[in-house]
Amino acid sequence: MLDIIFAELIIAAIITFFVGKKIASIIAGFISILPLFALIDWANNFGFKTISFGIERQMNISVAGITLHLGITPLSWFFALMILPLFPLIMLYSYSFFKENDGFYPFMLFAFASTFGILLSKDMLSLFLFWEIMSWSSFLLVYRSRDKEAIISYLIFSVFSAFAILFGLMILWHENFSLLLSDIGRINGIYGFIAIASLIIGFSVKSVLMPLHAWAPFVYSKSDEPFVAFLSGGLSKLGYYGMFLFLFTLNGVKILQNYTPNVAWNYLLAVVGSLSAFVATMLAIMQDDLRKLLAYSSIGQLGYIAIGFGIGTPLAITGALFQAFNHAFFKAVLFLAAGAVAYRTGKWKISELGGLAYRMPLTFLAALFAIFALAAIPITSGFAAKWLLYEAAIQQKYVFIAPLMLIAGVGAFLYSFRILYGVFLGENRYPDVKEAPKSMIAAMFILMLPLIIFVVFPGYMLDLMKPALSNSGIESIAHTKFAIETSLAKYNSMAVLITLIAAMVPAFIIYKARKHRITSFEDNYLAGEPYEFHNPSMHAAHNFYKPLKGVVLPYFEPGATYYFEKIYKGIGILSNGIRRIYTGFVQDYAIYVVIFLLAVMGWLIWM
Amino acid sequence: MVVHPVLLIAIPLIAAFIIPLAKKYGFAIAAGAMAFNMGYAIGMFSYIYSHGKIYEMIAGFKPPVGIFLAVDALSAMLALLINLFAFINFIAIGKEWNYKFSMLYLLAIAGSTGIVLTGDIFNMFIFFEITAVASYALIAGKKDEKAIEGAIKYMVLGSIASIFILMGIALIYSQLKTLNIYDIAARISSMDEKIKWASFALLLTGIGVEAEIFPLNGWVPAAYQGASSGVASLLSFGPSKAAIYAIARIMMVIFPFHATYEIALYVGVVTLVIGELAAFMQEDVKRMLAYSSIGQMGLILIAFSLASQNIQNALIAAFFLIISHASAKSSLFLLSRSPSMGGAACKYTGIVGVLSIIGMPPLAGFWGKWYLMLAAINEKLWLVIMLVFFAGIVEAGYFARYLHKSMGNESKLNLRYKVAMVVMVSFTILLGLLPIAYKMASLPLWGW
Repeated sequence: MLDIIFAELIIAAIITFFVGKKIASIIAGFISILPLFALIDWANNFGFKTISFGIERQMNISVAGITLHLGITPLSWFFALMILPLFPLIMLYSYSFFKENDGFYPFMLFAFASTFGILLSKDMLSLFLFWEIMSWSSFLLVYRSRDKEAIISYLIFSVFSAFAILFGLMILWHENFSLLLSDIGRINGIYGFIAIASLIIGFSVKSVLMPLHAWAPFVYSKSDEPFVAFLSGGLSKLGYYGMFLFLFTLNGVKILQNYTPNVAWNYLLAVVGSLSAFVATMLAIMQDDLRKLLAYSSIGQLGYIAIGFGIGTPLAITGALFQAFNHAFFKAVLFLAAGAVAYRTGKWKISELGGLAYRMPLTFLAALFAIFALAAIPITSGFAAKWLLYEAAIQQKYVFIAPLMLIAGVGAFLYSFRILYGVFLGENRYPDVKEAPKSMIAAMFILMLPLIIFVVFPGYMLDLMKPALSNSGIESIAHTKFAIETSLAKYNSMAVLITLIAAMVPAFIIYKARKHRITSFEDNYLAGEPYEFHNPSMHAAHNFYKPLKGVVLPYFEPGATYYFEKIYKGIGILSNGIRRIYTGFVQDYAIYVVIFLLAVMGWLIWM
Repeated sequence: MVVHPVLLIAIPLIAAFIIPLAKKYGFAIAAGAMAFNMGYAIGMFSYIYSHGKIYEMIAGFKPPVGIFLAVDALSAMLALLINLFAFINFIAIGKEWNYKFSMLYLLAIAGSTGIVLTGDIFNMFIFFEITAVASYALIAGKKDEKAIEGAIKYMVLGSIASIFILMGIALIYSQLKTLNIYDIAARISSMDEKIKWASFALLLTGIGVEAEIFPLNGWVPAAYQGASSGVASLLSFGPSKAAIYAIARIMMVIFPFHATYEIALYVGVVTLVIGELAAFMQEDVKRMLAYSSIGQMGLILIAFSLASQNIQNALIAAFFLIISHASAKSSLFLLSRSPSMGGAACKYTGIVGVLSIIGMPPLAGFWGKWYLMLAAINEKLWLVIMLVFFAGIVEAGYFARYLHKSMGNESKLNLRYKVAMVVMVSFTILLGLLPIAYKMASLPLWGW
């Protein structure tokens, strides 16, 4: 059955080259539901009672003289559960998003199939093969943006990440002479250390950890929104999947510790994650381009997952996986909502938008809800995840990381407030705009469901990740349906929700009871001059965090991008130097030939 | 013997001599000869695929006296590649030129095929000469300043190269009194040490000029830039591939020593890094592709030099790298005729070609990269691996720039070009998916 699923995905990808955009989106949407059936079926293996479709757990597919070992593990099942459901909904969204079918759906399907393949890989070759298919199919989707920085940086970083992963895998292969991932573990010493380090570096490109995030602001802000929703929501999790796989399931932590017992490498990962969260959040606050803001926000939110992996206690890892799950959904909703706004208005700058909540209330609702999850406000499951992470950092007494996380958490609220205020509230600048198409609204609302379910029942989420954790030898935290019990405190979702509602209801009543006086902004006169409606400096979101800008930006502005540009230019200078070897004079070339002959002859005769 | 490899050389040579007598039908005769060659090469390949290596003695003289053709998996694959692509390429571009072009094209193909098939080192020299002389004229055929400049540069270096090859052969002959490659290989240990190394250095230098290895490749950027895109395409799948195979054979069969592998490995790495770096800032598309070709030739040379240690993986890598580079680069050169990649055919040809060279699955380049790494990690060549990775990243940089720059809606290519491009580039997809290369690499090779 697995091979049939893959074959159908690939055939669908080829068909979508040739059909119209609506049919392509329908085909892609329906075909991508197939793997979800497999996920439901496999749940039976991990202690859940579901329907069985008779899909096998393991399968060896022989292609082109080599064998790919595929199979589901508890870990990949959990990650599949967070990544794969995004896709059909994004297809539903894109039903009305595109003007024509010009190569979006085929490559999306390839990216989807390869994601499924990465999650199912049980040997190095299939892992790397599917990883590379994912790289090129997502590159071709970035290529549609026609943006120079995005195209060049994405391809370079993809190739870099692929080489780092290949290098790590090759060392592991050489030590064991087996391509099966399950055979890893008999490796120690410097090779094991290099292999694990190289793999983590490779995966952290996809999971946009600083300083390897430099491609993300360009790519996230220039590509098509449905793709970016999948890239940020889904594909970035694959990096964390790889990290979890090699660090915890395949004992990478022990390999690192055996080689350098006195160095806490996990602390380094946590620091990188927290810096990533902190710096990206600060940069997100300053962005005026909605897409750039969301890009930096993605980098920041994904940093939390790395913090969790870095701290490495069961509590922290639980929090990290919870955060990963939430992020997949809320960031997809946010990017899709941004896409819906742009679909109707054609604008990306916050300073050019405003008041859309009156015209696009449902989009506003979806975005509001996603922002609650992002800013960890208790009525979504975002709160539970961050709570676990904070608690883990405090429990371990990480005095550097915990404050950074808290600042980043407040910062997340600052920039999400800016989205609400600048885009959806304030004066209505687009009185003629209509609500986003129904398919877009439907997709966004279905994507919100998990966030609501898991705020009421955080225990269910812990149940879902339990097989993955126990398979990696990590004990799961004591929990009931509503409550998570830790050594520091007990988090009960019901108590939090009831308190929140109890506080909200009086506030709402007071708000409603007050009289509101609404005046048109256009009545105002400033110093005798009539107010110019479209003057950007009069926009509510103009110079929003100006004081912060002066304090923060000078330190972060150069950033990693600056140094990567330096490297790029450095290679350019090297390249220009090397091209001088090719002087253009054939006499020189003739001399090179003679020198080469003498050098080879000398080397051979005297060595 | 069922298969007569000599026909692959004889038919295009005879056709080339007939063409001046029937100028009007130049294109038709050449196309017919190449169609025959293509079919025959396919037949020979399938025969080798099922039966293993074969040899043929010309006119019944036994080696080491007579002329001798040795066909094994590698040479059959290269002969097929050269003849197949030659036919496709010629159908696309042949009509634009007069009968002289057809004649020269046939000579270049006959020469390249001969280099690949021959088992006699002096014959190899003759075929090199035929190929090189035909290539000078083909490059100069465009008749503008750049073309003539490229042709002259190639001619100067090519002449020096042929003298070196001849001197190398003369040194060997003076010691062993034989020209048969396998006869030399059997008695190489009886040669004087210094003369042995001198002859290897001379042969490596001479053939290296044709194989575009650094620093013997001064002619490459100018020649590829000056030549018409069809001829540049021919150069990238024909003579250069034949020459790199000739180096591999001389290294593996005649001089199977540690020192020679080491030199080939270092030269390959330097060629790779220099080629890719030089391409990085190059603005002219053809020149960029030419530098990139240099880099790829370095990579193929690395694969062949690793074959001494880990023959299976390295040979598979070499197979795939040759296929990937020949099919991707020759279609990219055809594409370079138009400044932008308009239309689906051009766009996806460009994309698939670039992805194959960068090494993305399931294209042939991916398997080349994977097996090359398997072979290299076995030897723990950390520096080589790092440099290959560095070169790969640089390559990704300029190919991304190339893809961005040549994005556009218009295409100046006619249908024949588009068909040829698509057919050529589809081989990298096809052979990435078919398990032919694994079987081929497990077949016995002559003298390896």
